[in-house]
Amino acid sequence: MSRAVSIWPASADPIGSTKSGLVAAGTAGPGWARGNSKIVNDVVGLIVGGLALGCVYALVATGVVLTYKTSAVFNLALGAQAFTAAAVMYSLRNNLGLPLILSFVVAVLIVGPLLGLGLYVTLFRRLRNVPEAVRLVVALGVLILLPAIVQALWFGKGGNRGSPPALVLEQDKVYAWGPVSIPADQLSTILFTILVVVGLVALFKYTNLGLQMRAVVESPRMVQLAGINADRVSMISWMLSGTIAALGGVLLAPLFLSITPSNYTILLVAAIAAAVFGRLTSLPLTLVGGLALGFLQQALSRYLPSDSVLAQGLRPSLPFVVLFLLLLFWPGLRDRREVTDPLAGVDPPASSIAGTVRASKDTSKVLPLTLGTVVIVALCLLLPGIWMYRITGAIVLSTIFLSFTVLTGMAGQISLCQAAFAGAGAYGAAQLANHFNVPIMVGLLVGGLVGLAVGMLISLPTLGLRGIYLTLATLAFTLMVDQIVFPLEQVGGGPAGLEVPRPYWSGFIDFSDDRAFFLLCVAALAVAALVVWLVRRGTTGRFLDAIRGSETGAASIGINPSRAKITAFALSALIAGVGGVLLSSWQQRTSAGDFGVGNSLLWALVVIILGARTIKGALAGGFLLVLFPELLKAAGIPNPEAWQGVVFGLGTFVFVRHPEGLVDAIGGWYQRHFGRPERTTEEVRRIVTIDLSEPEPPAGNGASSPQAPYTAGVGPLPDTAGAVAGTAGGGSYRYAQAGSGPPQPPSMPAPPSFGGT
Amino acid sequence: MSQPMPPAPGWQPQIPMAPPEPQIPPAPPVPQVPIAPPAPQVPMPQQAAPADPAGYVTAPVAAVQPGPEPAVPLLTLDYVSAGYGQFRALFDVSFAVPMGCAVALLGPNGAGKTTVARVCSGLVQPTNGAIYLGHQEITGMPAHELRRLGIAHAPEGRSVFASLTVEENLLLEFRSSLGKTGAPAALERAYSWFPRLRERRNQIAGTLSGGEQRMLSLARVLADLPRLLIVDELSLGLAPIIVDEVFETLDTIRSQGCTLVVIEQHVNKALELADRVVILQKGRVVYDGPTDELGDLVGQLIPGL
Repeated sequence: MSRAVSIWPASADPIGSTKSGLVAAGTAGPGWARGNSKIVNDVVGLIVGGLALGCVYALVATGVVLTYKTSAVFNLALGAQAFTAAAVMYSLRNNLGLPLILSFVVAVLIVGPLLGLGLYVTLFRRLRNVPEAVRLVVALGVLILLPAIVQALWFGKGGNRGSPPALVLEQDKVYAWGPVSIPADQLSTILFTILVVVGLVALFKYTNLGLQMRAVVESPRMVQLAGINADRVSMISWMLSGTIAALGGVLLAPLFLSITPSNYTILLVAAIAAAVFGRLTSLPLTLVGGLALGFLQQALSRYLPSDSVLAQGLRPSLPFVVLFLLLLFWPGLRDRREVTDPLAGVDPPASSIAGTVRASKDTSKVLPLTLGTVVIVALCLLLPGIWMYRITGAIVLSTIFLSFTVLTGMAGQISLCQAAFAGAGAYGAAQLANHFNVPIMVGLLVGGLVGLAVGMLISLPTLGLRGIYLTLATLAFTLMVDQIVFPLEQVGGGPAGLEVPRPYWSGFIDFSDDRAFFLLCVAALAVAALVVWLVRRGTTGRFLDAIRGSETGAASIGINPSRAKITAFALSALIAGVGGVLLSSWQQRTSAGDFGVGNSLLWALVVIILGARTIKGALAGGFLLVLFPELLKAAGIPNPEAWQGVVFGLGTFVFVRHPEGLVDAIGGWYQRHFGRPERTTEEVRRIVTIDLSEPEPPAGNGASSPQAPYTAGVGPLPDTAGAVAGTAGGGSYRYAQAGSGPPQPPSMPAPPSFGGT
Repeated sequence: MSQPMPPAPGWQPQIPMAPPEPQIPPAPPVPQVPIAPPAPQVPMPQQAAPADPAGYVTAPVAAVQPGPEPAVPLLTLDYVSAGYGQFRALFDVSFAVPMGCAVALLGPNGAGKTTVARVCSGLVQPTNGAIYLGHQEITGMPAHELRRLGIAHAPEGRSVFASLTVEENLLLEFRSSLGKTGAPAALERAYSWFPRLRERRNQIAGTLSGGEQRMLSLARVLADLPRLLIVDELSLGLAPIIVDEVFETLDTIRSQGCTLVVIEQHVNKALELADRVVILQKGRVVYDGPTDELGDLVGQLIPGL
């Protein structure tokens, strides 16, 4: 779609677009083309070039390992931190003309640690006890937020004042020893990496701070019992990892022609692959992994024929392929001994991201809801054409977002490959339409099936992966598909994209008119929403609820987690596939980046922040994503794409406090302040459930004096939750929402609907 | 389990080797104010009994009898409530730990004993109420600051850093409390008390046996005696003979002036050691008084005894 945020331009090729600097030996011209006599130099050049690239990978990978080891956060934001430091460095050096050393000090030694510290203090400090999924989404938000801020504020078009500065005293100097010759910038990269890795190993092995850092990983609580400020230790380690990421970012910059966030996302994925190779703990293994990846990538760029499309795609996406394979097959990862915190029980158990609210069984709202929808749809038909068109887009996007509702909201899996499903469906339908004249109406079904097939393809091998590893696998999968498969002529139609007609079938069915197409999209959305609603109410929904709570527990009562998860993946991919066809048909063509990783990340972020659990959340996401940039444009704000990223990225700060999603949070706030006092039984049950899932705030008000014997409602409680709230008195629902009422007495028999107290 | 254990000297700190107490200086101020008990002390456990709603056995209450105890207890819990997330574990718990005493904290499973220990050491923040160390209010202070004030907590279960070596476990503690200069001496003391640990100094702590891990967590605390030591189920999973030794060790360190709060499943052992007993049930104090006045109430208050 046209408003892809520019974090991922279509062709991001770290090798293809590099300067000639990576060809080390035989300096001038393509050294490898000179015949066999140069083969020694060739190999040496390969090693040196691979070494430099691998060193940068290894550097950032040590940053990943460091934050994971010291704060249990898988810091996806490191890529963004590296980008920011590189952008600062570039601006200081090239735009302002400051001396190299000064720029380096500011970008790496000041901005780097401050960014790490800022992220820790504002976001990640509170996240130790939240579900891993929330941490992941927050990191994702920062990954989008930081580059967006940098681009929105001053770095809009990237660097356009010469190539990024290398960390060398003399540019373009080449050091030579016999057959080995190394350009200065590569030498400095290698030296810096050695410095950092040796320094880190020494830190962990020989210093008290390193000892404390290692201890904090295991149990911050026990570190505190030893009289050490665990928070301070975490802060220092975040500053350290921020510095390392900044250094990696600054070192990587000269390997590319310009500084774009996409290059740094590649760097991040490569670093993650190296870190995964090091089992997320071992620094030496991580170094080896980074170097190996650098060599491998260098070797591929040298020895693969450069004209094949597959090779074109494979070279830059090698890190993704490696990461995907490592996640699936690297035994070190599965056998990793999870050192558990002996004091884990001190902190409240993490509640699931998808809370406790089940779909309402109250059908009394169906009629007003339907009528309201019909009226709104009818009103929409009166809108001027361009707004009609935009709202259609929002509805199409909402349909795609319902696939998140199934997979993330119901199954609790954070998938970053929904755009790949949508793309598979769209390209499948478009190719059929273009080559075999299959009408798009049929293509809708075919697209759904293609999406479903891709969904099965990804879900089967990743069944054993949990949490963060599944997310990383889906990210790697998206990157692979985006880089290797979608650019193929036979799939995505090459650089030109594909023409996608509006649904039309020999005169009987004609949706080519904008209004007719709008109605079709509304119908598709309604069907998808109904399916999601029914599935959530039904057995599968209950199974998924159980699995989200505890996979082992669900298995122990006879639920097959694999089957339920595959079902969720399949349904989700089906919806995404159909949505993808509609999306391309809405635009009447596909273009590069429509279904790329940039959209994948942004979509996931928007839906999860707004509420992945509810259909409302998906709707809000679709409308926000389509209409918000239009508002920005209407307000005359330059660089609206970057600002959009800033706003959605900032949403993570709110999300940290409301992991149930903004739509629900706003709804709750509205109900508290303006809602009706009388609730239906169903609503009261819902509210009471929310109350129990929220931590009890400290009772600071004198009104609920703890000494006062508890009298209200001590008697035998009625069975239904509605009646419970009734006995609790006039402000019943307020009490339930805010949770600030008098404490429950311990001897009170818990009503069955509450579960055990 | 008992086989690798050294004989009793291995467990018992030799008193002559004990260091001159670095924490003694903060202690004296307490007896200096015997005349006027400070404000925080006023809402003392007397009120706990009338507020007890559920009709539990009303306990003979601590502060009623003046006795030889110092006027200001070392640790005072004043209507402390606490919980985990939405779950509430403690309801208005009040009791005092007099200076130099050993207090046994008893009660059935799920009574809130461990939560009391965590609240005292700052791991869990009370949602209501206040905690005092001597005169100083320590409510809401983080655990690491309380450790520096002299409250040490040996938590329940495996409480060593499993991924660090034995020596690193000890150094982590000593370096923070004694500084780099004091750490080697403390390390030496710990090793002389527990020679077994010296043998295993470079072993990863997670691979130690249960008894050795207990030794390690005790050695971490004992090489630098705190003012208040809270031990949570120290004898869990240990052979009976070693349990005896653990209790002898606790007795010894009490005689060196360290105040103890002991949580135990071995009720009889705990009662032998303790001067006072606090019994919890369902998050409330149902008994708080001297051990000798407990009599056969203990059978009523702790089911299954």
